[in-house]
Amino acid sequence: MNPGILTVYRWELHKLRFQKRTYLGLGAAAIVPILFAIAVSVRNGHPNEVAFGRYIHQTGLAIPLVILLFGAVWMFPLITALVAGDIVASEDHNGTLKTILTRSLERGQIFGGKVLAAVTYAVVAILHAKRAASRISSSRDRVPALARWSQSATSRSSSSRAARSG
Amino acid sequence: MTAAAPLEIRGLTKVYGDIVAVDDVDLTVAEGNVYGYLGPNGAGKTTSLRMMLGLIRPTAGSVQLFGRDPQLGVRALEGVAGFVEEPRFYPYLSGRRNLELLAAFDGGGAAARIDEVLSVVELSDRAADKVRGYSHGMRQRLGIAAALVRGPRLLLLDEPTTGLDPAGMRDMRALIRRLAGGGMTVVLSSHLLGEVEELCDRVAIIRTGSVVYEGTIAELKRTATGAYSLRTTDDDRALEVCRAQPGIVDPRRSAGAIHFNADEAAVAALSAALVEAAAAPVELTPQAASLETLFFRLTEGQDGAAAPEPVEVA
Repeated sequence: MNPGILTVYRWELHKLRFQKRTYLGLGAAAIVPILFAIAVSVRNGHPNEVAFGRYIHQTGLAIPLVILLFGAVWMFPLITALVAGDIVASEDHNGTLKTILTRSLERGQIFGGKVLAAVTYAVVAILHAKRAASRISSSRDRVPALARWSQSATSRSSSSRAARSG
Repeated sequence: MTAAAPLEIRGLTKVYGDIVAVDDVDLTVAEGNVYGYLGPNGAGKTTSLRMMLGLIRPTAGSVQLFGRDPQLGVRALEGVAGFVEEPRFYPYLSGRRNLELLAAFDGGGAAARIDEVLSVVELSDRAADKVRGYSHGMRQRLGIAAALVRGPRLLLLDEPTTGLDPAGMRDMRALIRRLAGGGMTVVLSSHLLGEVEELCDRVAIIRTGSVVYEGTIAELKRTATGAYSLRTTDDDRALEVCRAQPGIVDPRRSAGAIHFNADEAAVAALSAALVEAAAAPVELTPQAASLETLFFRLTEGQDGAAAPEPVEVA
């Protein structure tokens, strides 16, 4: 079989599986929704400016929606850019770019395979973030303490607002 | 049918800003040759090899690998493999995985050769270990394996023995000799004259980007100027003959003998002249490793004055 973009793509994914920073990236993607949920809980009121933000205190189901929209707009391009940059820069850093450029693949094919791998990684990272968000939302609906805590945070902030205005 | 030469370079030039790294290099490597590309560090060997492998674009001139230009696409590298500087791999993958990746990038039957090339470079035992833990010598051998996996007919190696300990150097040279013995064309760069003398049958010596000698090692030895000492039946007369003889440099008497520098042709002519002048040589001995002297003269000469003209050898 002649090598092509898919050959590069397959091996890029293989290489990602063997690198520690791949998992660091996925871990970070999972932490973002947690931080987001905490931030929303302790913030004044609810984030109206974010789509579905209004529902965030009514149902935990809104969290994954908010995260997904937030992720699609901000995280997806950011992660893609970071991974795409790293996937090429590390070849240069390791000196392996010369190694693979002297095989039977054109530079365009190597580039194409890397782009596909970066996109795949970004999708996986988003799904990770989404899954973490779902977990938070379901646990928030299920665990009354958490709900109460976030409500009290809301009332605390509204009472402090009332105190300020009065 | 005459097949295109494995490597043919015409007028190859690479300029970086004001620096001419490679200056108008011509050379032809014939099938089955072991060709030495010899020069001190910084002479432009690696830059030349980069252009041969199509990694960088020449400022001027051309490279042809089996008649194909590596600038026009990676197809020109069919049957060609090698490395520049030192072979580099993914440190977090095992030696075998690295070869599997490269074999996949080669296509064809490369993957089927992995076991064979691992045993050729004697890395079969360590193939499952991550490259991160490999010594310099092992990486260098894995580099050869990565090249061999392509099933090349032309091997381009950039200083394959640099940084190896004496045993590693010996093994690497034996390996290259074995590959060459199997009919592979090999181009190797080196800054060690002894290595090239031992392995190669043809050599290009380069200095600051230009070829100062191109030809066989045997011819190089013949043109080498060396120091000689001479004793004759009549040294006074012999000294006069030496002074009159062309090609005899700096004849002088000391310690009961005449000393001078000359190349082999001039020495041969001198002996005839001495016999004719009735000062028959009793002893005529070369004094130093003349090839070494020539190499240093070729590669360390000052610009212009001491730099010899390129020697053309048919």
